[in-house]
Formats: sequence, structure tokens, C-alpha cells
Amino acid sequence: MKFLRRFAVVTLIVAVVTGIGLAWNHFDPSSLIGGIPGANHVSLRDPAARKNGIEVLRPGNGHDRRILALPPDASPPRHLARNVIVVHLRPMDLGLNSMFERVDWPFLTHTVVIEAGVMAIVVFLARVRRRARRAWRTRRLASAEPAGGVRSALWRTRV
Amino acid sequence: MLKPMATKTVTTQARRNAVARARIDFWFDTALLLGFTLAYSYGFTGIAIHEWLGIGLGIALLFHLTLHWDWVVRTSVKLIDPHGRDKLIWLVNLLLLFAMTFCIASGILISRVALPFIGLYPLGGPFWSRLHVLTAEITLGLVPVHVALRWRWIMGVGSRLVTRPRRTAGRSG
Repeated sequence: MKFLRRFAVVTLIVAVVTGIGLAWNHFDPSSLIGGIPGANHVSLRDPAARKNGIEVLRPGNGHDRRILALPPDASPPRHLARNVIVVHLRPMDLGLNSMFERVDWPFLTHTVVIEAGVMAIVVFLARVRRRARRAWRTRRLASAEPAGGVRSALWRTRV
Repeated sequence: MLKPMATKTVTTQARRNAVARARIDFWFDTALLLGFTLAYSYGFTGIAIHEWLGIGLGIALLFHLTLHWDWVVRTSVKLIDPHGRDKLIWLVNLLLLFAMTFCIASGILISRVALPFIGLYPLGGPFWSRLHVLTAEITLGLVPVHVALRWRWIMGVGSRLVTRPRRTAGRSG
């Protein structure tokens, strides 16, 4: 019961955040999509693309190759066919083959390298900070230590 | 008042529960990290796995947040305290909540395979496409920070999980 109550609260929070996103899209979408050149504009502005059911899956920056998703057995119009990767969509084609092709592995290694790099930096910084704090605390205790006697021994054990 | 024997039993039980909970958290969080890594590698998985994995991650994240709700409440209360710890982690987690929620929600709204498969045709649009790409990149930066800020816990629990079966195997053998 406690778990369900918490789950409901969490779901509500996520719904509120999603609502913020919807409100952003409703009131001020241009703040996000104002200046993107490239792929999305093709699918929106080009009537030939819309007519042929072409969807752009990954927005390009004007230089990258675009990925176009097409219905099965369709081909892109000639003026859009240059410099694109065509993906034919089938509803439950999981595309598992792509995982076993060596050419696709760099996508995964790229992600892993970024994650590992960021983790290494954060762990390194955390360790440096921890060491600095420990050294500072030791110095502070040492400076506060009275000269000689039992009390001094107690201070030392605390450090 | 509890007798010493009863107290010991209760303590042992509580300890066992804590160990079991830590184990669940560890494996569940590991699965989440692997799932996110795969889902982000869109070119590797292909669109269908990317979308279904994203939906699965959305549900898993609700559970993740629910399982750690105690921490959320405790840390949020401590934020007022100037000496309160975990402020940085709290901030990272808040940003991650927004980034991941936006990423998954926009991913659902631009779905090309998963939602049409169950008969839903989302509206999509450039705003959601752009939001999806942007928040995915932010999430890729925040997830490793989120993990690394807990590296001591991960190392502690991970090493215990790895060494314990070995000890058991040693005893039985």
C-alpha cells in the first residue's frame, strides 16, 4: 500500500513535468526550434516528402546524412535521394541484425566512452575534494591541539 | 522490553532486509544504466528496439524513483540546512528527472514504430523531435554524473556482491 501511494505520487510528479513540456510546446515552441536548419524542415515544407510518407528520424544540421523512414517498398523522391540513409519501416521488425553488424558497433562504443569518461572525471574530482577536505580537517585539528598531556593523545586518536 | 535474544533476531532480520534491498537496488540500477546506454545508441539498436526500450525505461524510472522516495524526501527536507549534504546530488537528480521525462515523453510523441504498432498515431512535429535530441544529449551527460556521485556505494555493494558468493562457494567446497 505504501509502495502504491509513493508510486502514485511519483507518477503525478512525472505527469506535471510532462505537462510543463506540453505547455512549452503550446506557448513558446519557437524558443526551441527557431533556428534549426536541415532535416525537419524538409519533412515539413516539402510537399513531395509528405505525400510519399517520408519522415525524418534524425534531424541533421545541414551537413550530416539524413535518415528517412519510408513505408515498405517505397523509394525517396529523386531530389531528396541524395545524401540520405533510407530505412524501410515494418511495425515489429526489431532490427536485431543491426546489433550483429560490425559497422553499427561504434554507435554503442561511442556512448560507452562518453559515459565512462564523464564518470571517471566525476570520481576523480570527488576523490580530490575528499582528500582536500580530510587534509583541511587534519590541519584544523592539529592547530587546535593543546600542547602535551592526555588531552593531546585524545586529539590524536580523534584524527 | 525486548529480550537480548529477540533484539538480536530483529537486528539480524533488519540487516538481512537491508542487504536484500541493496542487492535489488544494485541490479535494478545496473539494468537501468545498461538499458539507457543501449537506448541512446540508436544506430546500434535500430528504431524499434530504441522505442520499446525507451518506453520500458520510462516505466522502470517510475519504479526507480518510487524505490528511492525516502531519499528524495529526506534530502529535500535537509536542503534548508546550510550544512546539509547531498545538495549537488539532489540538483543533478532534479535535472535528470526533467531531462529524462522530457526525453521519454517527446520520444513517445514522435514514435514511428512502437505506438503505431498498438494503434496509436502520435502527432510528432519538429518541437518534439528537437526536444528529444536535446534532452537525450543532456541525459547522456547527467546519467554518468548521477552514477559517479554514488561510486562509493556502488563499489561497496558491488564488491560485497562479488566476494560473498565466492566465500559461500569456498565454505561449501
